[in-house]
Amino acid sequence: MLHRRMVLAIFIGFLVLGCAAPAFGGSLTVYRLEPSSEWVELPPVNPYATAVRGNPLQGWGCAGTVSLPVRATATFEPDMRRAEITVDFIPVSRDIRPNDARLFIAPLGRRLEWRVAITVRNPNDIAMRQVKVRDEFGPAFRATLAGRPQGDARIEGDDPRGRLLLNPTLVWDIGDLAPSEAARAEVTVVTGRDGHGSQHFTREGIYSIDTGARLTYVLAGQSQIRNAPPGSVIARKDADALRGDGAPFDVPASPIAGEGSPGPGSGPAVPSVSPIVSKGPQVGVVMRRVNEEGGIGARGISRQGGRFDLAAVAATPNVTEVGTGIDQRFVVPPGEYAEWEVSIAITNLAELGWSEWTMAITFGAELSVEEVPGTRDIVPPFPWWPFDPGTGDPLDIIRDPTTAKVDVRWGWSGDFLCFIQGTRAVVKLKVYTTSPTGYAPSELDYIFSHFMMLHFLPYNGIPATIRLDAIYIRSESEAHADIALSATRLDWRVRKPGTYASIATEMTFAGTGNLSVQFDDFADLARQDGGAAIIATWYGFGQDLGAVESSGWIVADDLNLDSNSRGPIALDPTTPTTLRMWSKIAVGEEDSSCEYEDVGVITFIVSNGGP
Amino acid sequence: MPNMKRTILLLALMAVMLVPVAALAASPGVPLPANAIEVETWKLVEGQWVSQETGNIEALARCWSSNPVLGSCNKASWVVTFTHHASVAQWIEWTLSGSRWDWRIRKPGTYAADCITATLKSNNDVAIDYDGFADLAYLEAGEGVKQTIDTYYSFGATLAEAEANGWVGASALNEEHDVIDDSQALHDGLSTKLWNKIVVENCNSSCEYEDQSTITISLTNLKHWIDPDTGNFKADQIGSQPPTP
Repeated sequence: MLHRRMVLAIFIGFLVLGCAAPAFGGSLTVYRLEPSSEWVELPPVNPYATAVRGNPLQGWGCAGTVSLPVRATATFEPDMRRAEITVDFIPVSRDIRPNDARLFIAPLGRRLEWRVAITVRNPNDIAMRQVKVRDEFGPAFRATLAGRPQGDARIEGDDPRGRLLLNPTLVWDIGDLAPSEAARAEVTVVTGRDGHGSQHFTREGIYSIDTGARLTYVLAGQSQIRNAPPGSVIARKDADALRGDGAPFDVPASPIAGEGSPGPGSGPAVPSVSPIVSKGPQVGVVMRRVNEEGGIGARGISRQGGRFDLAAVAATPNVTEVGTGIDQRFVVPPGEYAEWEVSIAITNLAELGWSEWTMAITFGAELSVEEVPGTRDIVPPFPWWPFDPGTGDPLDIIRDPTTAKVDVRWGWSGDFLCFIQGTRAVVKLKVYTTSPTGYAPSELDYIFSHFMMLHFLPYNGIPATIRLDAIYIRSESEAHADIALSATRLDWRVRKPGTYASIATEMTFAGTGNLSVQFDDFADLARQDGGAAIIATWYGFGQDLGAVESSGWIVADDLNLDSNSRGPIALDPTTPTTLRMWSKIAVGEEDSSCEYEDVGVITFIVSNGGP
Repeated sequence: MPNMKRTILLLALMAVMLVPVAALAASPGVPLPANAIEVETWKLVEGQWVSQETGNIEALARCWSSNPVLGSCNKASWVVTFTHHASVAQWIEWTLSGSRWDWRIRKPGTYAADCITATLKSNNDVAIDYDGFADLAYLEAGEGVKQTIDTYYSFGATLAEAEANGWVGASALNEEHDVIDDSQALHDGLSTKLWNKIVVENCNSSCEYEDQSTITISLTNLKHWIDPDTGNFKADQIGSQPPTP
């Protein structure tokens, strides 16, 4: 309301001062009426309002009246981006492993539960009216409301007995939110029952926890929409394991019991491969792909410009990615075909309607590009919006005859009412290596995509351009290791006190790249029945016992120190490297007859050669 | 007197030194994985590693490795769990400075002697049973006025201590089954002197009197992989399974 008063005041002031305006344009001083009823002069740069004068007039005459054309405009455009909705997915079940805030990994055969906390805040200076939240949960889940949030909240479309595959939906009518006011609702989401009554996932796959909460409200008479990112869970037989060939979670993209059909552009189902599983009791071997943040790689790179977003996701398992941020790049083995799916989204955020826009992307010369049929669409913010934006111009996909690069262009033009705030244009591209043999090995990066830009023209006639950072591809042989351990369990049977030694395990490595061996959780053998006694334990490395004696035994606890890590060991694909690990225990007369044990962890990290 | 019996049975003269390790049920041991393979072990003897060789049932310690793993992977971090297990058998060391007492009495009276010094050392609870203890009996049947010599036992460093600790009648020993708890003192070794008291009366005819009895010392934590008769390793280590609880 204050904004409106203020702008009105400026408008009147502008009318009054119009005739006396000096013969040059420039900014006007703006004042703001504070809640204390005091006028405060605003600096030239402020978050509230600015006023600019222009089109000066001058004249001279003796007529009794002079008509002077004066035009005053006022644009009220509050910063809608400050309206907030946050959705926190809080795992309740211990079996749920967060991969990030909205992606989880969980095993089959377990009842899974999340607490979904939805918070709406009003950061504006004026009230948000008719605030509503709608969040649709996946059919694989049951949802129940926890507590009584502000306003009217309910779950619709849920089967109380949990036997029907429905989409439970939170419908939350908050009402009005005063400035700085917030409201919060919590929903308990658990895995629904399948046809056999089991309340857990029975098939591997990606399950949508929700489709993303949608916040609608009215601010200063304008309807607003905000969407929160959705949550998902990857269900695996072994939540720790990846494929035996080291690829990440390549669960079927097609769903699973309880999930609907895949949406347009969903990738082909990739058959899952059983991970390596332990062969005996108390022994487990998993291969875990880690990216540089320590998370599980998604094999995708995105560039986000707000109004212009691009996400490239690998469609073949031989593609990985390295680096972070703008340095993140794909890695493709030389000589191998590779494929990606590129999703492009153009969104009109909090601005005037657009009357035209053009998007351009240039892909590398080694790539071919095709539009994924049926994915090109322009979606208005409201289903009932009467102005149909269509699907835009057909995509131009042209290979430059000189550079061999592939230029992709997509444009749209029309009435600005057809591309109002919240309108979203999307399309997907299939990008693949033109040659079945992919890339040649190179120390230099290849271009995946660059010159990515969006040019758009809002209704106010001031054009704007958004550029995205380029994405590159590295073609190099991935580090690879064949690792064998002669044993992962050592059993001593001791009749009398004494100091004894034996080989613990023989590790054999072959492959390419470098290998580092790290140790964790190694300690003296401790009584298994809870007593405090221990058996002093050491480890050593060497070809034989004499070599170990020469190099020295390492106290078990100290084996965990970084300084006692082994490597980097340069791997050779043809000549295996052997590392013999020895154990020494000292059983004293003070050690009671009992079972003693320690479980340590050996981590093998394979990396590319070089510094 | 019953308290007296218990204390002597438990060699409780060392009680003030006993520091119980833990009142824990000891495990008979875990089975070896089916794919376990025995590996050579060495024992450190006077600074030198001495091989014990595999398959040696008289070895003091043996070792098996199992659960090998292998795999192939691209640019990944592998995590391997390594289990290091030791099953320590119960052992015992004990001494009796004598297992026969011979009295020679010229006149009736009450006599005592510190006949035996006993030591006991083990790494877990030790059970002690007595059988056949009785007053010394007349060796020739049907002769004599009183055919037994009253016999008692006690303990202590000196006779005064033995007196203070009290005497227990011989036959009362047989009713006891006692356990010496695992303790640091037991690991270090318990030691005591056993005292014997006989009461020779006028009615005891001159003759030979005697009693033969048995003290049984038992280990309470016998590993399933130990031959209970010899104390050596059983021949079949892989197939040996712990008893079903």
